[in-house]
Amino acid sequence: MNSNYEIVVGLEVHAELSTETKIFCGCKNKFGSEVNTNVCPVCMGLPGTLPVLNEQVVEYAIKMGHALNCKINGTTKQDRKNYFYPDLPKSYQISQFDIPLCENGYLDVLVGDEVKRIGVTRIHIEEDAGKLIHDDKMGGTLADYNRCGVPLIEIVSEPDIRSADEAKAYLDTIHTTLLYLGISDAKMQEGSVRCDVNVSVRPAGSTEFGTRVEMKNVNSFSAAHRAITYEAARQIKVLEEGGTIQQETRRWDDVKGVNVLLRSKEDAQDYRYFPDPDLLTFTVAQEKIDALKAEIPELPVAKTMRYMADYKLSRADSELLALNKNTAAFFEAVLATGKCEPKSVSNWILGDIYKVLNERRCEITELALTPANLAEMISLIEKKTISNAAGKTVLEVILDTDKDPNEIVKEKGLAQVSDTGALNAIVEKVLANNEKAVADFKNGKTNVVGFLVGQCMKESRGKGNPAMLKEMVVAAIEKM
Amino acid sequence: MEIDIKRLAKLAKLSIPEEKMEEFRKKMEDIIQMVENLPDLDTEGSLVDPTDTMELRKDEVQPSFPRDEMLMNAPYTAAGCILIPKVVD
Repeated sequence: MNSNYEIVVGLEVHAELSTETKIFCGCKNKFGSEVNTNVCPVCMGLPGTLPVLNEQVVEYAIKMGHALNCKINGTTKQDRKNYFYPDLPKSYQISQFDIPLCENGYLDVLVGDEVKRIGVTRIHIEEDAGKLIHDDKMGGTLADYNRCGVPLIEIVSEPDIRSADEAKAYLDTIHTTLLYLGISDAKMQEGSVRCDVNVSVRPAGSTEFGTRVEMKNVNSFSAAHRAITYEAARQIKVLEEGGTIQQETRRWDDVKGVNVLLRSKEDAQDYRYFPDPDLLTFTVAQEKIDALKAEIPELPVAKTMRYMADYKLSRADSELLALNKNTAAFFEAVLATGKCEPKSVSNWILGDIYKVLNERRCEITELALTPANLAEMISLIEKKTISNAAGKTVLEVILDTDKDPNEIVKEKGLAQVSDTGALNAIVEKVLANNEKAVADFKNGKTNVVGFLVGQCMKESRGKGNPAMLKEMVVAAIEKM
Repeated sequence: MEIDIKRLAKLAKLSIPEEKMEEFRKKMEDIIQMVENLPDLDTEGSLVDPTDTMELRKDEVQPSFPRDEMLMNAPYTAAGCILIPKVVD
């Protein structure tokens, strides 16, 4: 990237809310249903029908507003945004224009080790459009209106983002926040979260914004990163060659890694917003707004910071734990037993347990593993009752059965041997069988001690106390 | 008030023949005039009226419409969908 320029990015994120029903009618809000089965005259926009706003939509949107530190407008209304496209049967989308439900907020995100504050202009509620399936065989386009009227929130950021990495961090944080609040499935692959990207560049040090270009069809957060990097480079090239940037909308093609002009400023849509006469003003009582605020849990960035400060975990580990609501809750439940150190709990969760979650593509809550059993297992290691290796054996069992680790240790005879007599016999045998390693050690290659301890552990079938074995191996060689 | 009837027609996706433009311009002007003659409403302050508000709906599922009946409104259908002329964004 040419360092003579600064990138300026603003993002519009659309997230489908996971309500039971649509925003203005009682049709199911459900992804993957058979085409046109969740439709009625309201969401099809037939004449004479009246929309009635779903209160859950308002509450979910207010929760997001609180999470993003917004001012909540308890008295607001809805407006019509007019445009013609066959995915929109009414030829207008019910949205919000001048009085969004939430406005003037911000979101703190972690970019590397830095906390960056990104302004949130507004969050408003609106309805989603249907889905068009382009079918060459039919010689036309198929319209499925199941998604018509699915509730959306649109979260508009200030142009505070200065790099593709910051954009990615912002989007990831919005995503985890939606999941923490339980207000959206936030599944990128199902299109339940989508984003439009506004990019401009300006000479480094300049305080004026350059002309911005909007990009559509950015279907994943990693695509957003690529699209921003591409568009910024394109604009810089135009400027360097003495050209000017046109205000326009471009379409991102993630497969080809390029964008193409969709429409220029002259063709910009004129949406002719006006208050929807079918929907009156609605109010949300201040007590309700406050009650919703009290329901906001500790959010991922705050959690990450707390794990770093209170438990002295690395930023990467803290973030990994905090990123997933279920993993974070599990981690905290294990710590709440007071039986083990945060660092070892973090290592077990992010190590052996994560590997299993990845293999099985499941959430930690889907395992039979309980926080109590994991805490007990780790405390047995910390008390040196069992070795780390024996811990892995115990974990294999408690992953899928709710069984007391102490029982497993007894049944499998995993208790660590700390009896000097028994360990001495093992050390002697291993040293006798590994003369070359012993000679290497004497010649200064002291790192072979790890190999020798490993052999002793093997000989003890994982039950030897590795710390004791190491001391004994060194002492025995030095005596030779 | 100057009326750009071409632009209005374009926004409304209407094709108005050139010779009819003047007629429609005149009609639109009359409509605007009629609206302008209405008494002014005081729009100082907020556009929302907290004394005239609507009740919200509980998030409870109601049966949807049978698909076959919904599709009877459409001139062409295929594969459970409304078939429309090919659109490319």
